[in-house]
Amino acid sequence: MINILLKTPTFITLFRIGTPHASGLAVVFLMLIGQQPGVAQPNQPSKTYASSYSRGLLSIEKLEEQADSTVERMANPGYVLTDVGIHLNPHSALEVHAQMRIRSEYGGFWGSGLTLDLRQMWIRGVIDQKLRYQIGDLDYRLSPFTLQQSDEWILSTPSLLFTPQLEMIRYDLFQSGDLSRRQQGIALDFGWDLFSDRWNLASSLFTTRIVASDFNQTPDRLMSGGAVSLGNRNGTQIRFNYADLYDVNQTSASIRHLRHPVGSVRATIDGQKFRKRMPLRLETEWGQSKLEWVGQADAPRLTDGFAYAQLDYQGSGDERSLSAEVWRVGSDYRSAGAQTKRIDFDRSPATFRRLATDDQIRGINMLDLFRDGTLHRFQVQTGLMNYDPAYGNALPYGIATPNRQGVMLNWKRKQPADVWQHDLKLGMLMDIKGQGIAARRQFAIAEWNGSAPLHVILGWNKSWWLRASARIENTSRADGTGDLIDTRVDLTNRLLQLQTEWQISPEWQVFAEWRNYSSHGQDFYGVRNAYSEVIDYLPMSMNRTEHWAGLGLNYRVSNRFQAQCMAYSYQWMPPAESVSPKIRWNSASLLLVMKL
Amino acid sequence: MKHLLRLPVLLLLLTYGCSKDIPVDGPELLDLFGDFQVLQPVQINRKQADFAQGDLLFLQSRFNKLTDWELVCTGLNSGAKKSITGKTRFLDSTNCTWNGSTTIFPMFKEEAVEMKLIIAEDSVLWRDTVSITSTRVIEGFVVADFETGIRPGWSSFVQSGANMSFVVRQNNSAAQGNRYYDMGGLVNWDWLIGMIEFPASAYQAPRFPLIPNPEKLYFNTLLYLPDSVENALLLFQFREDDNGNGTFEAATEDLYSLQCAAYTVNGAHQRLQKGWNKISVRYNELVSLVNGQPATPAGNGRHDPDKLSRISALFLANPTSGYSQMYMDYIIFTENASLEP
Repeated sequence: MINILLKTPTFITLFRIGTPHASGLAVVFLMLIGQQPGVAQPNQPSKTYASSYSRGLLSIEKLEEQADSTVERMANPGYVLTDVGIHLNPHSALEVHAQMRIRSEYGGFWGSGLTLDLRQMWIRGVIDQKLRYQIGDLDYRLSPFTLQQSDEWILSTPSLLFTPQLEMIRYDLFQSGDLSRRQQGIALDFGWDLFSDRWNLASSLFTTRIVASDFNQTPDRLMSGGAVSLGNRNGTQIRFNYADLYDVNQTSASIRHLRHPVGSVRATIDGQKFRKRMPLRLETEWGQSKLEWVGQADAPRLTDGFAYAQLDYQGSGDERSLSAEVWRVGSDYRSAGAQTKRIDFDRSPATFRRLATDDQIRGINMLDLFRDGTLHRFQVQTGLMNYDPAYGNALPYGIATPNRQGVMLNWKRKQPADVWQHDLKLGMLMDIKGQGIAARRQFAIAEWNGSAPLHVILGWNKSWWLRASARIENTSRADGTGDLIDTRVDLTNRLLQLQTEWQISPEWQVFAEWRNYSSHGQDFYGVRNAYSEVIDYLPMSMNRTEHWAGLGLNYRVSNRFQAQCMAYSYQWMPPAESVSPKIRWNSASLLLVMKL
Repeated sequence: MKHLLRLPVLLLLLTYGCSKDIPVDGPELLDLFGDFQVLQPVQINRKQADFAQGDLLFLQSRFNKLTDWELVCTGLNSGAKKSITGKTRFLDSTNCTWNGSTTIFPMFKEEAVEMKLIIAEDSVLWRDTVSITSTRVIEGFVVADFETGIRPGWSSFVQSGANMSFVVRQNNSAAQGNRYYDMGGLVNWDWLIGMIEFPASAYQAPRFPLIPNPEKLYFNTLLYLPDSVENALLLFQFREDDNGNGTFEAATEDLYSLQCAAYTVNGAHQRLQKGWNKISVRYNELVSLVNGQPATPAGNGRHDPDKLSRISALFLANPTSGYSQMYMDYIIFTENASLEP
């Protein structure tokens, strides 16, 4: 007997998510398919209602360059913006949403600094209580190897000072917490219960346009695909993922067309749901990719695959968890949906772009990565984007980084509040193909995060936490060519952070943070051509240290209103022999965020 | 459950088993950063080249690493230059062969040629002199090379301006051979300074003997822009006798154009640099123009090179812009590829 899953009232409730942070129906689809955790349900909306998000930022920035002489410059950037969304529900099975953004730069007088944009728009609904659809803007993801964003290594340690600004950038670029990718197109979802409801089959299909034709040499570039998932009540699931990025013939004068299909099979077995409960959960995924340019004889055809397995152990009672991952991604494995980076390292920072010293372009630093939205991107890009080895060399494209094999262990002790908390991650990776020589690079990763409840130790009523983080990533390779040339690689990136947060009332918190980041050593950076093949190696010598220290005051009322004022000092310290100046960047800023 | 735990191991083994056995990604570091060494000295295959008979000159050598190199051939009489570049571990007939063609005009003559092999890491690695006993033969229909002066049947019109020079000149400046057509003058009342026409009848045929496929036919010519001239515009016109009655009727037959200018003009054109320029345009890329603006062809609208009955070269300049000058040489139609001079 086959029943349509969508007949359940659950769908109708999920469908009516109306906050501007709801990541769209496509995510709701995936929640069913991928067994994602649920999201909070708002009250039943009226037939027409509005949602809004507003924020304002004002800061005073002072940059000091210390080279032969000291140069000081100041900037006072600031803006206020509001996103106003209208939701129309003509009937229970249809919702239309449009969101406008109004932004005003401080100092833009009489509208000269005012911009008005349509930020997003979609229509979603259900047809005959069987087929769900969403048209327009949608968020979609499949798996970490086929279509899903990955976190940048350097940004994945939260900062009390700058994570609120990073969250603003992510909100602006639709980078939601579930790592889905914002696209424009159409998504469909449908499913059935099988074998007396013991199994269910869920399907999701999508087509989105990544690039629009210019009717000359740039054709329409679409991404199409979807997932078919078969699961049972015992927590066993097998899922087929497919994403194809391709150029559409005859939408331009170009005779060269991209074809880039990626497919995978993901299987999950959850021992917790077995009749005889076991604290184990196993996930595996295996897939293949192809990247080719049809109609261009000298273009390569890259095909390769990956395999991945993760075993989780969840302890009972003490909330300890342990997971082990092992994977291998071939050197020619390409997956635009999974490997497109969040940071575009080919760009230049927007604030203080040029240094006074020799008029040189200022390089991207860690502060820019957290605060400068112009460096971030969300559009899918073919090939492999450039990256800075100083800000993550082991997995620059996330777990789907090509030419890597290795293991990763994660240990977490997640106790109830007011007890020590720790998590530890250890990884050992290796190149599959040597980079320029037969000897392969090895990558060692170690990360530790710990939290200490000082208020418990001191017997105080108000909570006071001390948190510490340490992350080290080392890349190494022995010299493989004898005395001919020095091919040794030894690059160490290290992050140390201390945070403290004291709650002085339910709404007010005082916080302080210190972070030190350094990158020392050398590696050979692979320069890639337009087809993402390595065509050259650049010897890179890193010798930089950055650190910041700051404190602030935070006022928060639920998750609807947050105000934060803070002051910090950041330093960039290049090596003594460098022509780049030492930089000290002091700033004070006020930040307001409102969600309605 | 126990059996299922074996699944990831099997998947990994499967992937390892399917992996390609290529140990190195990208170029070898030794090629990029190692010291340069010559493993086999540079040799040339012959000291004399009869290019008209199909002779080829090539070098042979081997290096210890991937090397950027450039072979430069310089005509000791003409000053012609040929440059061949590559990035390889070896030199042989597959990557370092010279067939007598030219990179920088004029074209090579029967003369002595100095050949130099330049390596980025080692400056001039090898040098020798060879002699050309005959120049290469270029396949195609030659409309004009001016080597025998003005051909009977060509017609010209020259305004009565100042310093007019619509003549064939003979000197070493010719891009091909020894002669070229010099067009110049000052006409301050009209854009047209002068023109020369090449009717098919000058070749004893009602139409030029060309293939009918416009996608495979290239119109080529060599144009020289003097250093001091900024205002020159040469307009080629191609008249097709669509109805085959032996005359061109402007109201009902196709006229296509090609503009070659020293400056940016409206519409499709070839922008000229100082010195000799090679102009090569596929016949189906010729455009229809009326007073310099794109227009619909008056005839059947098809590019029919086998119906081409007359080619005109109109030398133009803005009447307020002063004296203008341009040289023209070697007008030739080639099939399947543009002119390799």
